[in-house]
Amino acid sequence: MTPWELRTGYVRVLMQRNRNRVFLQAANDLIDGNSPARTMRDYVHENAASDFLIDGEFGALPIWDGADQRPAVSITDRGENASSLLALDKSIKFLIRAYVSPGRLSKPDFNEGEPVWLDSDVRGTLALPPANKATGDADMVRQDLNTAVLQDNGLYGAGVAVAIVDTGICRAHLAKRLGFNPALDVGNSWTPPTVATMPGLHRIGHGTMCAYGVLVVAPNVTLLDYPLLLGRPAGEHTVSATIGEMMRGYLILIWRWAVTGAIPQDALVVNNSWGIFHPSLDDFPPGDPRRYIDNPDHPFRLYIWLLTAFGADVVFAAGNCGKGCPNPVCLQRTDGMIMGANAYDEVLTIGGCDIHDTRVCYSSQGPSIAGMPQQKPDVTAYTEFLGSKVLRGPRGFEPDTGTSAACAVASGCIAALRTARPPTATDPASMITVLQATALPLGGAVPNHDYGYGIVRPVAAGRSLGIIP
Amino acid sequence: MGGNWFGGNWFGGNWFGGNWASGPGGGGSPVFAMRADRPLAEIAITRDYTAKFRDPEWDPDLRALAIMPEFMAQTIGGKQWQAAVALPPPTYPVTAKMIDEVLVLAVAERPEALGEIVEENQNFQLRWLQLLNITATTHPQTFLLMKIMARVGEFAMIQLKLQHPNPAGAAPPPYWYQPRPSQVCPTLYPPVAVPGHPAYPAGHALIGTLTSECLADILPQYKEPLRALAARVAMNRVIAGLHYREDIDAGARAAVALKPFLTACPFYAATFKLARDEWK
Repeated sequence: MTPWELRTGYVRVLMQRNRNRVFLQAANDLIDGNSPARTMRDYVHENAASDFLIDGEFGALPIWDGADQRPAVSITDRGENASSLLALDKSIKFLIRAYVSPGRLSKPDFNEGEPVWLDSDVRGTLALPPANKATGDADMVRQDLNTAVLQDNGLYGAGVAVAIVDTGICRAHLAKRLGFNPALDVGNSWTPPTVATMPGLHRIGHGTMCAYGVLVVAPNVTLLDYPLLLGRPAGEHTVSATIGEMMRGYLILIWRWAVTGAIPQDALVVNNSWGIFHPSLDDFPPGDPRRYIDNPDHPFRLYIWLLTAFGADVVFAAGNCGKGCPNPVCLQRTDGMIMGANAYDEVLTIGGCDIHDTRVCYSSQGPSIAGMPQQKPDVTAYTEFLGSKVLRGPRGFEPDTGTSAACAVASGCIAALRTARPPTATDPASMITVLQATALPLGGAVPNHDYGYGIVRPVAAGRSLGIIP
Repeated sequence: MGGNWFGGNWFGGNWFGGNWASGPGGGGSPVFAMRADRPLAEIAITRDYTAKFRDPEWDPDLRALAIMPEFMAQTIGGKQWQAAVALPPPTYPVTAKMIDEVLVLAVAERPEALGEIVEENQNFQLRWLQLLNITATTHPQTFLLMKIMARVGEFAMIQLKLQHPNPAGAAPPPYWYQPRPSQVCPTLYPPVAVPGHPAYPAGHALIGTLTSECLADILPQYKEPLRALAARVAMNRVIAGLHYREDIDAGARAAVALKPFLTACPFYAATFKLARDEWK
């Protein structure tokens, strides 16, 4: 049976359910790199109805005491403590993915009153023409950020892992454009099972552009390839990734970073140059607790929070729906367009400016969508520069563009600083504060809704942290 | 090639052998003896009064039409196929959310999907031939079976599209039907001609799903790629701005519901058996 066999249309949701043996095994399967479909098969079959279908391939994700309950963890718990605190058999609640008819979903006793959330579509935030004019190149970005001073102080990004949560990396292209072969940890990368290409060998595109932006600032980082934006559910009509796929990849990251210690680096930066394009993609009406875009209690937040609680820096693009020249996908809407995870408190949200320090006219502005933390973006970083050359247009190569590129440059800045300042010394929240306090203030009084606290200045941040004299 | 006996070029099969990759007996442009001054008829030859027009010489586009009376008369559990399908009415008036979804897809996905959209506009069962690496010549019975699915799919699609006139409520003629997205929002600007029939349910989803589900009975090992192809072809019609999401869901569900009525037809069953033998 497939989703479209449900006779009445369907909504794709994430459902909270109580622990059972099947979920426990399915979560184990996922973490072990096996398909949970076989484990889930009988459960799927027993629960199937004409208007309800569980996605067995998705498996089950632990959310411990529930999406709104945060396990008592800290950065120093990484390793042994984490494996006991987050042990799968300690998880009372699990998330599964299901396709449900709108009628059944609206019944008050649906899922026996346990919470349900939308598993919404998400996509990479690439700006499209006409806003595609290069204002400089990668060298000018380095000059503006003064990376020479970073590197004089040894801040190359060595010993820092940067996860590129995107459409996948083409390492050979990066090597060609950068003149050196960047480090990529294939073993600690993760590819959704519906994707055929391997880590570092994905088609040249958005993800490669983002990896390039990081490496421009911090060339010695170790890349982790998480092409979650390609991970659409098998057999789904839609062509995009979903928050559920993001959560699966994030669970792997949490596990390898915090629990098993498979990621050996001292710091982890997670680059997220993606988001939900338009409020119309949220299937539930405003005010509904199952929504994603303006709901700080969506379970994805728990996973983001967990990563940051264990010391990972999570960086998000603001989006390309700013006043001036919003991307066509915004459908002319520019108010409250920083939505979903891009607006969470725990993440550093990045607006975009060109190399002349002027906000690019598509960079999404605050305030965020009502219901979420309002002061976004946090800081601004460079975009619209001729860099990775992943896109070729009618007049030659297109510049790296969108707040996607800006997000990657900001991730590179953090990675450079993390070379000498692990999260055990400066936690992600403090790092955000330092970056805000040392940013080049622009756009009038700061923080404002165009630049946040201003343009990111890694050297000033390094001085403030005491790692640059 | 020009239009055909279905008025539009919905499925492309026409009197001249169809414009699929090849008609019966191979492709190429038709060549006829045209010269009145040098007729071949002047040559005396032995005539073959036992000549026969054999099965493989049938135009499968037309031969497949013989399924129609069987399909229309078919009942399962006392029900005809329309009762078994029983699609709910479409959402009318169309909501801003429905249009916004299509617009977002048009901007975000159409550039990449354009090649497939144009290729699949007509004769889209070609994509299935391509997937299975078959032609009318290599697998004539499978080809005919697909034509049968197409004919039944086209018929069912039109019947279902006619089923919900004046969706906002009962009203006397003249009847009107669910508008295409581009009628609601012309800036969707579909890259192919807007078909001459209403939006709900989607024909590509219906025929594509029927094709995949039926072929999966012959080739169970390809069930997943066949289904994925059907979903892909259907979704491309949304990206093209020709359908709402609910249209393709309804089309796909209709195909699954009516399949048993098709497989119970004797002509289908007999062709199916021959088609299956082609894969042994």
